[in-house]
Amino acid sequence: MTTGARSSRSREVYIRWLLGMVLVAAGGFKAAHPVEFHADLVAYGIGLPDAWLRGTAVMLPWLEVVAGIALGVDFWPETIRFVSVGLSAVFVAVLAQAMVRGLEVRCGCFGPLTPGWFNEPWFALGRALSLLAASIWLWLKRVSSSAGPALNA
Amino acid sequence: MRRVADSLFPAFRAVRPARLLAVLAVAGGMGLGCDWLRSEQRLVFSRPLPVFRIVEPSR
Repeated sequence: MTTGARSSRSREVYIRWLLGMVLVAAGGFKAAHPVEFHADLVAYGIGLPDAWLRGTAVMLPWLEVVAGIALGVDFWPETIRFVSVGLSAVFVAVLAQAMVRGLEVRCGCFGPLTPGWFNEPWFALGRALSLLAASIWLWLKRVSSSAGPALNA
Repeated sequence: MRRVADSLFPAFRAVRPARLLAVLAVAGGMGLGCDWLRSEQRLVFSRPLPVFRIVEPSR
């Protein structure tokens, strides 16, 4: 393994762990306060029936936790990294639509106990975009790694 | 940018639907299980609303 490939590999591991920890933290805090998360989902005005929002408020935090842990240990990488991209894309889409519509929402991404500035929509959108970029990079990295050394340089 | 676009299709094809379903099932099971075990503030398995009974006026 060349120095460049080793450096790229360690960068991948760091990003994987960071993303995994963020997902576990976000999911864990939301799973501990599902009622508050449901209220945040209602405030986003997505237009889904309340039963769907209740199901989402119960299941999505655990999907984040499972994906975060699996990302950390690199379990089923081709699928888990896709789940991470999907979660991040949903966060970006939901936050962006609320901002475009001028809704006054608090992010609620890390549960109700986070400080106010942390829940500001602009800050939350920037965070979600960073997560999305990191997730896409990891996802495509996996494909290029498994494709062989020609794409891995 | 072109390289990213070229990588997207193989990345989609690499995703295994059975594993994706398994991850969703595990997360869903954990979420529903936690909601079921919670004694209060349930979202999915909410307790039934109280039933009001009409009491006949005493004579």
